[in-house]
Amino acid sequence: MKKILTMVMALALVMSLAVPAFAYGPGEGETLDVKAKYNTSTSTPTIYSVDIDWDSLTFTYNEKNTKTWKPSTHSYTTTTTEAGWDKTSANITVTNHSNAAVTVAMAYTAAATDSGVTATLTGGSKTLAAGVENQAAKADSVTGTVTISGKPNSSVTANGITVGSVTITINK
Amino acid sequence: MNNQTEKKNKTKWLILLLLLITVIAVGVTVWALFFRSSGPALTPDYAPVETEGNAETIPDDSGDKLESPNGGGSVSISYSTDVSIDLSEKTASLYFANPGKSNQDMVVQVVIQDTILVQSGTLQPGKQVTTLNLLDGAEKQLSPGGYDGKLVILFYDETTGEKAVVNTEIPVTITVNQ
Repeated sequence: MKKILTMVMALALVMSLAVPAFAYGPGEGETLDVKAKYNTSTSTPTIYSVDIDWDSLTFTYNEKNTKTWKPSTHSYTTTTTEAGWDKTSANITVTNHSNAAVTVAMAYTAAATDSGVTATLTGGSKTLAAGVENQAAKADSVTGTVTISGKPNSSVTANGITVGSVTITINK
Repeated sequence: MNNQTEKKNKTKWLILLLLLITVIAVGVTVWALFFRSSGPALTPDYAPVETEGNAETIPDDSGDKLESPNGGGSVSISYSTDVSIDLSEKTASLYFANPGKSNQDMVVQVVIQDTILVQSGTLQPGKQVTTLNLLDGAEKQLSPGGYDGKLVILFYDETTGEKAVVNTEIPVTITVNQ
């Protein structure tokens, strides 16, 4: 009796191990959609590009003198008939062709020489807007002006000396 | 006997002195060869004779020159504001271009805290660089990490090689890797 009961219970256990799997599936006649998707992404890296133009930064001081002979003293009298700079200013322009804004600053640094000449820089500092698509000719720009004054002393020769330099800083 | 002992002592001291001088001399030599930092680089007043060996031709560059007044200058520059330095390779990776429309040669410097670490050869119009070599000993002055530095762009007349009195500085972020 016990053996029969044991066998029956074992059989029942084995039968319970066969767990049926229930899955939802299409019934007869049902359709499933196959889908395709298009996903695009575009990166626009920043490209920095600027144009820098500058006028000639060589300034020439011209002086014309006339030596007049004095017969009574057999000596010359020197008279300056003309003296002045060929020009007193020169421009430096920065144009932004980047696809991002840039900040421009211009600075003049005088050389450590006593030349009797003074140069100054005005303007030239501005945040330039990013370039606009298809409008290269309208790119934003800024101009600084170098102005010279004074009278050169003997340290300034006909070959010229460097009295200073201009540094253009371009920040993003 | 006393004379011999004295002579031996003198010899001993002489040998010790010579040994000391030798050790000092070797120490100075080792320091000079491996630990002495190189002197600061100087900005050239005239364009370097050597063109930059790492320069490449800019692709699709039209080369139409910008107009500039007589004695003046016109340049166009393209650049990236990120620079990375590889200490083991002793190179700097960056992007800088001197488009063909410029009428000046250029020299590029990478500067950190007023120290010039990289100085290119001459970059003629139509050339760009993505790699430059560090100056001798520059790698010894750097540790891995981030630095604020700048590119210094110097301009030189194409014909005379004379340096323009206008130069450009561009702040950049420099990442140093071992």
